[in-house]
Amino acid sequence: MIRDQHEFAKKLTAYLDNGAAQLKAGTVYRLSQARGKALAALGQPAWTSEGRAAQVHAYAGAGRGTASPGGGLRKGAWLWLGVVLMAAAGFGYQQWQVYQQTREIEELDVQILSSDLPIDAYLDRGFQTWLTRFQP
Amino acid sequence: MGSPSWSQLSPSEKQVLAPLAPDWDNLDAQRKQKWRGLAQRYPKMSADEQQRIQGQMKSWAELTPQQRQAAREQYKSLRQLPPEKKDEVRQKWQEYQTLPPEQKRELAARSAATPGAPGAPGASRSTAPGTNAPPATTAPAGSAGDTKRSR
Repeated sequence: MIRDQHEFAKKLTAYLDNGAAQLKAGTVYRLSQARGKALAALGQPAWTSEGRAAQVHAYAGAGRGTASPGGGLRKGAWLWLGVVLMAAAGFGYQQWQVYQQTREIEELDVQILSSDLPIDAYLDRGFQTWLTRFQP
Repeated sequence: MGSPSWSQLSPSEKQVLAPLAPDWDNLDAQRKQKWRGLAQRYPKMSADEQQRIQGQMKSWAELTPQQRQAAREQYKSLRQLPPEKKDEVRQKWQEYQTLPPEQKRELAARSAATPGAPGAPGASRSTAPGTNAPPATTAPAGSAGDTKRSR
């Protein structure tokens, strides 16, 4: 049964090919146009007589990203890193100033303690007034 | 750095800071750090300097913060004098010691009454025993206007 169907399809195909080969060029062209219009109505690409697809499928921006998701995160991370560095620099400078002031006071205290004058001389207001008498 | 107790100091520090031993544990961390810095410099000083430091260390530690600051300010002003003037200052101090107490009080009072006179309010000290200088004009609350120690 199946074999008879194959025989029949084979014979029919050969007959149709023979018939198509005998068609005139104008007739073939008109048939091709009609076929293209019918397929376009169905939303399928139509093949020209040269056998190339006429409809172009355009993908706007396919595979091209305007901004990758990771770019924004990197930018924010750099910004925060800058803020942290600036804060650390400000804190370090402040600590250095405190250290410098402490060292200065320490040096001053050593000089006072080791000076020829006793501490009382630096605190006695009467002596300070006494000194001003002899200043020009 | 922290706030080491007296027992945690090194033997050399203890030797230098011996006058402060009774009061060491009552000092705040910042003052302890300063004294330890002084102890580190101590070996490099001359014998005279070391002796003077040892003699005045305890008195200095007993001062109020205002008194210490006033002493520093006065020292800085005298430090700017030329060497010959500094010698004069030492002589003047010797002369001042010989003045009668009344005259010293008068001089101290004149200093307190004069605006812009040297010395910070609340930082005056009287060397005359048994006498107390009149309190300064606007001493901050809690500060000692008079000397904390008597000779």
